[in-house]
Amino acid sequence: MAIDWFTVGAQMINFLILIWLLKKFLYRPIVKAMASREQGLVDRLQLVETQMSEAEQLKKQYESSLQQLDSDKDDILTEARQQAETDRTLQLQSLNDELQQEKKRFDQEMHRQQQQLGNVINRVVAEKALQLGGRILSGLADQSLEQQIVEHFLQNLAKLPDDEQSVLQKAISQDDAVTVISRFPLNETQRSKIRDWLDQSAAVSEVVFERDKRLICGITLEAGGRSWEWNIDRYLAELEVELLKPLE
Amino acid sequence: MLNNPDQIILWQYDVIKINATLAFTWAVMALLVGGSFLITRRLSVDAPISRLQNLLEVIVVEVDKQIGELSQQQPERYLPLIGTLFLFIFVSNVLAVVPGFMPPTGSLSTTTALALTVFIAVPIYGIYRVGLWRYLKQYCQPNVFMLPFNIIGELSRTLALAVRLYGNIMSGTVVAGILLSITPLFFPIAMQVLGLLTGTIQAYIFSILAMVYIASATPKSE
Repeated sequence: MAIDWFTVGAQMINFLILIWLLKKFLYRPIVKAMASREQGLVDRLQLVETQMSEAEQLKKQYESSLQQLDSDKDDILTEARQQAETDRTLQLQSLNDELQQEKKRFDQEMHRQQQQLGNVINRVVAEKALQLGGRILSGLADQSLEQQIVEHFLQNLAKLPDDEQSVLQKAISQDDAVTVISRFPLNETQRSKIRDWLDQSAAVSEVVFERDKRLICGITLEAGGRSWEWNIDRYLAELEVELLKPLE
Repeated sequence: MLNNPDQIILWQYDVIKINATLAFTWAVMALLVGGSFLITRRLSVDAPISRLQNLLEVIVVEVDKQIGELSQQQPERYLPLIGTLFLFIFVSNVLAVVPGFMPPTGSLSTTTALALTVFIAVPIYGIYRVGLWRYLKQYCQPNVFMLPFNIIGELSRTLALAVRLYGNIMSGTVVAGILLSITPLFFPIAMQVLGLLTGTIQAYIFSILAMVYIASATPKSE
């Protein structure tokens, strides 16, 4: 149990040296390394937290954008549907209008064509009727009819108004020859009847009887550059005018 | 039977002598400082960490934790003293299993030196922390009549600290020597294993007591 005080002192110095050396080579580097690691971990944790919060924010933004997009999509779809419906209605309306106009035009055209056709038919019917009438009258025209025509013509001349009568008389008296034109040759009885009537009206020098086959049935008196006639053609022409007037 | 390494003089000039205690102390110091230097010169802050660095970190962290729990103060200031006490005593005691190695802690001179270091460190830390007057005042607590008893307590605990460590380690060596002469086979090995345990516990007890003394001398009210 002896204490060597030199050894005690030396050991104390040794121990202090050991403390200093270990502080330098052990504690300080280890503590420093651990502090750095801790700081690094804290920094990394902070970074992670920051990134997490950023990610969270981005996620929120993304979700918000997604919701916005969804909402926009619905709006756009609704708007597009409305627009399409409006367009469709407008187009339908336009088509309907066009169709109506086209129908109207078609109806008008139809009406016009019907009218034209009606006109043509009427015209043809009238013409055919007239032709038929003319043909019937031509077929009926004979001597006895001619006799009646002459008498009818002479009655008409007699029924002329006074001023016309005087014009006729003047024409007969002034001219050298009075020309009577008929389709069929007039027999002597008829000629003398005409000549007698003329003589009663005015002094006539000569009566010339001529034929004209263009007359369907009728008679014409020409004197002094004028003519008086009774002709079925005239009646037919008047009828034609009357018939075709509504079609013009 | 030569149990005291102080008595093995390797070199002497007048009163200056180099005995086995000093030599083995230097060996332990070289081992500790050299090992620390080799490990800490390539410290890595980030993973992966080498196993030896990890071991040192575990030791430092554990010592820190113990100091913190005991003192309820920041452990950085006490770490060099308490950590070195533990490491030095622990390595010295563990190396006792090496044939021919005589642990310096088996020398009363060494344990006295360590106890005196603690004895000096206690007031230094106390004064540094609470100031000279307040530190001295606590020797008169609860009243001035307790001053001699407090001083005696201070001295006796230093003595107890020295003798406890010395007695445990020296006894281990003595017991091993005695058993070796009685039953040379097997039993001394068991005693050696027991000695490792005892040495580790002693290192722990010495460090903890040193910390307790220091902590008790620095009032927490501060």
